[in-house]
Amino acid sequence: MKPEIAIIGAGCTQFGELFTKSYNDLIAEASLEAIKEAGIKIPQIDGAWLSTAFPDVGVYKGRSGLDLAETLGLYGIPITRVSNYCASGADAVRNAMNALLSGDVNVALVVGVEKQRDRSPQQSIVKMMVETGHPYYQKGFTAAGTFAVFANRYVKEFGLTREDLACVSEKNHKNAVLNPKAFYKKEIKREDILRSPMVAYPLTLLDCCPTTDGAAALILVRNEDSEIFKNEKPVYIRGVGLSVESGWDQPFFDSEFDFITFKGAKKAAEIAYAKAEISNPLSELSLAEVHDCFSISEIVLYSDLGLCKKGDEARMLRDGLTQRGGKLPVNISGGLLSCGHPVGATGVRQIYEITRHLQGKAGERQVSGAHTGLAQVFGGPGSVSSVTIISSKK
Amino acid sequence: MSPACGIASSISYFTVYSPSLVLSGEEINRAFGTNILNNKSQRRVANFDEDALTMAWNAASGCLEQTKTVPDHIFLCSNTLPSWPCGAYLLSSLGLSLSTPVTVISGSWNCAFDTLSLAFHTAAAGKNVLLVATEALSKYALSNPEIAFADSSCAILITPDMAGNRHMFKPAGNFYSADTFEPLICNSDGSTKIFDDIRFTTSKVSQGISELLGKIDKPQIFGFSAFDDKISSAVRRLPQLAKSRFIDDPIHTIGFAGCVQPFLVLSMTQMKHGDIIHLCSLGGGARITALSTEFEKFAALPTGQKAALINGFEHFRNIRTFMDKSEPMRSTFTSEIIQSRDQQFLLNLNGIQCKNCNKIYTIPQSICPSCHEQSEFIQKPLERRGTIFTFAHEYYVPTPNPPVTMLVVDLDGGGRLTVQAADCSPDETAIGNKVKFVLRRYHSGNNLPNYFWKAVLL
Ligand SMILES: [Zn+2]
Repeated sequence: MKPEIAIIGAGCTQFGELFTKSYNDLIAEASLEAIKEAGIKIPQIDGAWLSTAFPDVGVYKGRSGLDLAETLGLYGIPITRVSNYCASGADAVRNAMNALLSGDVNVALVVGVEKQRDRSPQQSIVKMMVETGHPYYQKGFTAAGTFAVFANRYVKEFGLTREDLACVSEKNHKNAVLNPKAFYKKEIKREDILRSPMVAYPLTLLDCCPTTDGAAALILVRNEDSEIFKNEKPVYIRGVGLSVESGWDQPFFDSEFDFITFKGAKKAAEIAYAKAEISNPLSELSLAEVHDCFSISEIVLYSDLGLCKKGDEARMLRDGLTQRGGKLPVNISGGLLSCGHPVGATGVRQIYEITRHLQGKAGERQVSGAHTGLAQVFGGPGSVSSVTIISSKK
Repeated sequence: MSPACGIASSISYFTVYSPSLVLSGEEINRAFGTNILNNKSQRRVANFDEDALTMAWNAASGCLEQTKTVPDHIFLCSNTLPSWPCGAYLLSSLGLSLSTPVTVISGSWNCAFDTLSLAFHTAAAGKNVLLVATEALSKYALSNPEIAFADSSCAILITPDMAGNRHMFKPAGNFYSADTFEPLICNSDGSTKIFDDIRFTTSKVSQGISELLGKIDKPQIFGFSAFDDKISSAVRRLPQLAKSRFIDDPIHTIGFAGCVQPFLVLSMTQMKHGDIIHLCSLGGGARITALSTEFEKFAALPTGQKAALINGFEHFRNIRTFMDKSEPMRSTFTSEIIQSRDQQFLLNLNGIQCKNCNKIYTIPQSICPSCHEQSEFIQKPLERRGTIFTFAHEYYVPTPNPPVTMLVVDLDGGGRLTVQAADCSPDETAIGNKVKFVLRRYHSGNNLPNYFWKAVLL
C-alpha cells in the first residue's frame, strides 16, 4: 500500500564549513525555507522530528528534540530526536510519515542537522571511533576502513580497480559543479583522485566524503490535505523501506557476512519498490541519490538497489548509465562525496534534492522530465538502510 | 657428579622467542655519535605493541602447543613485567585455568637460576612446571649505547622424570657469590648507570668466578652471559676454563636480555649425549649452574621468525615510546568492567556454539541470532589460525609503523575475528593468506592496558 504522504515544503542550507553559523542557525535556515514553501506558520506544525546522529561531534546540541523546539519557539507539541547512524534523516521522515498516517499529527516538520566542523579534525568522529569504541572489537578501524574491506573483497571477486573507484568520485564531483549548495563545487580529474593521499587502502582521500556542516528540512502532510496548503508543486512519497540487517560488530565477527552486499539497502529497496509498485527501477526511476560516503559504497549499491547484476557495477559506471544524461543519473547533486555528509542531515537533503528535480526547480542541474526519484542512505557498516521513493504524481 | 644423584626432573621442551625487529649497531653508533659498537652487531627488539608479558605468551604458547602439556605450576621470571596482574593475563591467553599457581620471581639478572632451581624442585615433587623467563630491556638502549639491551623470552617445560634422566639438574653445581657487585643499574624511568671503572668491575667478576670454579668439577662446556664483552673476554681467559668449550653468548646477534640471557646462551649450544654444561651468569653476584643432557641439542635458536631491520634510531625511539607517549593511546576508552567481562572470554579465545543450530560465535551472545533459541550455548575453543577474508590498510590510525592493517579473519574450524595485523608490511597482505594469532598490547587507558590478539602471517 502506498503511504499517501505529500511533501509541501523543502529547505536546505549551504553544505560546507559554516564557521559563522551555529547548530541552531542551521535548523532555523532549513526550516524557514521549508515552512515558507509550504505556506504555513510555525504554530501550524503539530509534530516534529529532529535528526542528529552524533551530538558529541558538534557542540552537544542535538541530544533531543529540545534543540529544535528552542530554535523555532515550537512548544506544546511532541518533538522527537531520531538517531539511526547515517540513516537518521531518512528514518525521521519515516517516523513523521507514520505519525501523519495514524492521524496523530497533521502537519509534520522534519529537520536533519549536523555541525561537524565546530571541532577540529583531531576531535572528529574518526577519533571517536578509535578512542571510544569497544576496547577490543574492531580496534583500529576508521569509517573509511570499514568500507575499504568491501572494496578489497570487490577487487578479489569482480576485478574492481582503483580506476573504477575513482570514476565514481570523478562523476559526482563533476555533477556538483552545478549544485550551488554542494561543499565542493569543483571538477576533480581521475588521476588526481588516484594520486590523493591514501586513507584506507584502496580508498584515497578523494574516495571519501568530507565532514561537513549542514541542515535540511521538510514539511509533510497527508495527500488528502495537500490541497489545503499553498505550495503549487507538492511531491509525493510513494514508498519507504527501512531495514536493519546487521549490528555494528556482526559483519566483523560472523563468517556469513560476505562484504559484497549491503543487505539493509537491498531489503529496504525491496520494501520501497513493492510499496511504490516499481518492478524495473532502472527504467522507472528518473534519478537516484545514493549513499556514496565512500566511492565503493555507490558501486555496491548499484546491484543492491536492483539497477544491475552483482559484479556488473563497474561496467554500468564505465558505460555512463549513471552519469548526467545517462539512463539513470545517480547523485546529480554531487552526492555525499561533494556535498559532504552532515550525518543527520544527509537523508533529508537527498529527499530535498529529489523534490526540487520533481518540481522542475533544480536549476542548472535539473534532470529533464524527472518524475520519480529514489533516495537511499545507510548507517554503520551498511547495517541499517533506508530507501524512499518520491514521485511528482500522487 | 653422575646424573643419578640429580633430582628426578628434566627439561622436556625449550622454546625461545625473539622479536622480529632488528636494531643495528650501525644505527646506534650513528645516533650516539660513537663507534663503540661493532657495525656487525645487532639487537632483537620488541615491536611497539610487545612487552615482557606478550613475549612471555609467545614463548609459553609455543612450548605448550608442541608438548600438549597442561602445566601444574608456572614460574614467571622477569625484571621488566608490567605492573598489572600478569599471571591472570598469561593464564587466560594460554587458555589455562585461572587456578593454576603462577609464581613471579625477579630481583636480579640471576633470578633465572633461582627460578630454574625452584622449577626443578617443584617438578621433582611430581608437578609439570612451566618456567617462563621474559625481559623487555631495549628501552634502556635509548639512553645507553654500550650495553646490548634487547628483548626476548623463553619457556622451558620441566617435568618429573621417572625413567629417562634426560636433562638433569645438578643442585650441587649451583653456586652463588656476593663478592661481585651489580655494576649496572637500570632505573624505572629507562635511564641506566654503569659504575665508571669497568676494569675494576671486570677484575672483580673474574676473580669471583674463578673462586666459584675452584669449588666445582672443571666444566666441559661453559656458557657465560654478561651484558658486556669485556667481562666475557676476561672470564674466558680464566686458567680454570682453559680446556673448556665455550658457548657463544648471542650478545651480538640477539643482544642482552637480562634474566633470559643464560637460556639464550643455552639455546646456542649443540649438545651430545652425556654432556655436562655449566652455565654462569652475572647479576647481583655471579652464579653457576650445571646441567647434564642426554639430548643431542636443546631447542635451536628461534627459527622462522623473520627479521626486519629498523630504519633509523629515531624510528626505534618512536616504537619504544609510542605506547607511553602517544596521546591517543593513553586517552582511549578503557573499562575495567568490560575487561573483566570480556577479556577472560576473548583472551581464552573461547567462542560459543549454539546447541540448536551449531552456529559458532566468536563474541558473546545472549540469544542465538541465527535460530533465536535462548541461552543454549556450549563453549567452543576457537582455532588460533585462520584465513584472511578481507582487509584494509588504515593510514590514519595512530601507530609508529603506518599503516595499521585490519584483517577480517575466518578461523579454521569456524568463526570470524577482526583484528590488527602485526609485524607485516601492507604488500604482504592478501585475501586468502593464512595467519595465526599472537597476543599483543593495544592502547592503554587510565593506566590499564588492553591485551588482545593480532594476526601474523604464517
Ligand atoms: Zn542457533
